[in-house]
Amino acid sequence: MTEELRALLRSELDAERPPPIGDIVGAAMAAGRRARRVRRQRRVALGAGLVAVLVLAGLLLRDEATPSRAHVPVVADGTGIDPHVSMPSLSPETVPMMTSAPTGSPRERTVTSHDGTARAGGEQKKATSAAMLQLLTELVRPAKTGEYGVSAGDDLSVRLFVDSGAGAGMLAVTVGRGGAGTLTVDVAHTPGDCSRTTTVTADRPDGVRVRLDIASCPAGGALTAGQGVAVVSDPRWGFTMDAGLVDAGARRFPVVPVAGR
Amino acid sequence: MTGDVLAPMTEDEEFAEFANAHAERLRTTAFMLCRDWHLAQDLTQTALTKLFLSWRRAVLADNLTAYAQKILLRTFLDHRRRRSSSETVHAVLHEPAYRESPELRLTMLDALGRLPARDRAIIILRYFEDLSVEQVADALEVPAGVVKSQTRRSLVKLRELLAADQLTLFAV
Repeated sequence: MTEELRALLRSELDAERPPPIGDIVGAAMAAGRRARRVRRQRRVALGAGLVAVLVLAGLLLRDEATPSRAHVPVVADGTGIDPHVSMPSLSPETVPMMTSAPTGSPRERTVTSHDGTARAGGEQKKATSAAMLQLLTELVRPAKTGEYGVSAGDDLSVRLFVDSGAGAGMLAVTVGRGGAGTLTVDVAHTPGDCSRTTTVTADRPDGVRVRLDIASCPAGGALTAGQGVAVVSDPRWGFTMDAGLVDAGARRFPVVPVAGR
Repeated sequence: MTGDVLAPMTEDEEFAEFANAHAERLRTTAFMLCRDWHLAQDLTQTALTKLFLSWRRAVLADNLTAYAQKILLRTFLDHRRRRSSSETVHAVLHEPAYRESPELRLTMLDALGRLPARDRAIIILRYFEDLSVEQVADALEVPAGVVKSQTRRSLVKLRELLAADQLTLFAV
C-alpha cells in the first residue's frame, strides 16, 4: 500500500510545474547570517546593559555602606568643613536648585524690573556678605558647605566650599554693577585655572551683575555649568536683598573671615 | 596539488552541501503540505535558515534529513497557526466547483488538501517521506499512538474522498 500511495503522489507531483527554485540555499544562509548578527548585537547590548546595572548597583551599595554620622552644624567661623559632618551624597546633577524666591512669604509684594523680570518679593534691606552666604548655602542645599569667606573690600563677594558627594570645590559669588537692558547669562570656561574653571555671569536689566566662579579642584567641582546658571539667575541676588535673608545671614554668619583671595 | 591534503569543510560549506542536495525535496514536501509553490518556497527557505542557525546541533542528529523535515513541518504548522482563520475562509470561498462534481475525479493531492493540516502532515511524512511512526511522532511532538490513530482516521477520510478506482491503493 505504501509504495502504491507513494507512486500515486509522485505521478501527481510530476504533473506539477514548480517554479525555479533559484538560490534558495544562498538566501537561507544570508538570512541566517543576518539573524546571527542580530543575536550577537542583542547579546552585546544585553551584556552592556547588565554591566551598567551592576555598576549602578555597586555605586548605590557603596553609598549606602557609608557610615552614618551625627549631623553637626557647620559653625560660621570659617574654620572649614568639619570632617565628621555627614551630608547626603548627591551628584552635582541632583543638587536641588531654588530658582525662585520662596513662596508663602507673609509680606509678599511685587517689584517690577525694567524688562518685567520678576524679582523677589518682600521687604528689602541692604545686601550683606552674610546674607549672600545664607542665600548661596540655600541654593546648593543639601550639599555640605564650609570654608566660608568674604572679600577684603566693600565688594559684595563671598566664597565657600561645597561638597555635593560626587564632586567638591570652591564657589565664589560676586554681585556688582553690570550691563543693563536685557537679561544675559554668559558661561565661560578656563581650563587652565582650576580655581575658576567655569565662570557664569548674569547681567540683569536692573544693572546688577552676578558672577559665579566654580572651581574644579580639588574634586572635580561641586556644580555643573547648568547648576551655576540656576544660581546666578536667582532674582534674590542684588544690592538689596530680602530682609529675611539678611536677618538669617546675620544670625548664622555673625563673623566671617576675610578670604585670602 | 600533489601531496596536498584536502582542507576540511567549514560548517557553512557542510550546510550548503546538505541544503543544496535536499532543498528540492524539502520544497516538494512543503508544496504537498500547503498546495502553493510560492508559499512552499518561503517555507523551505525559512526552514533552511533555521537549520543553518542550528547546524551544530543538527549534525548530531541520527537522521539529518528527518531533522530537516521536522523543522520544515514545524515551520508549516507555525505558519498555519498564525494564519489559520483567514486561510480557512479563503479555502472555502475558492474551492473549485469541479471538486464538488461527482463525475470529476479528485486527485490525491486534492484529497490530502482536505485533511486537517496535522493529519495531512502525518500522511505525507509517513507515506511520502517514509518516516517511521516514531519519527513522525517526534516531529509532531505527539505520542506514537496518536500518530497511528490519526493515520488510520486519515486513510478512512481519503478513501471517502477518492474515486473508486483509486481505492484499491488502500486495500490492506
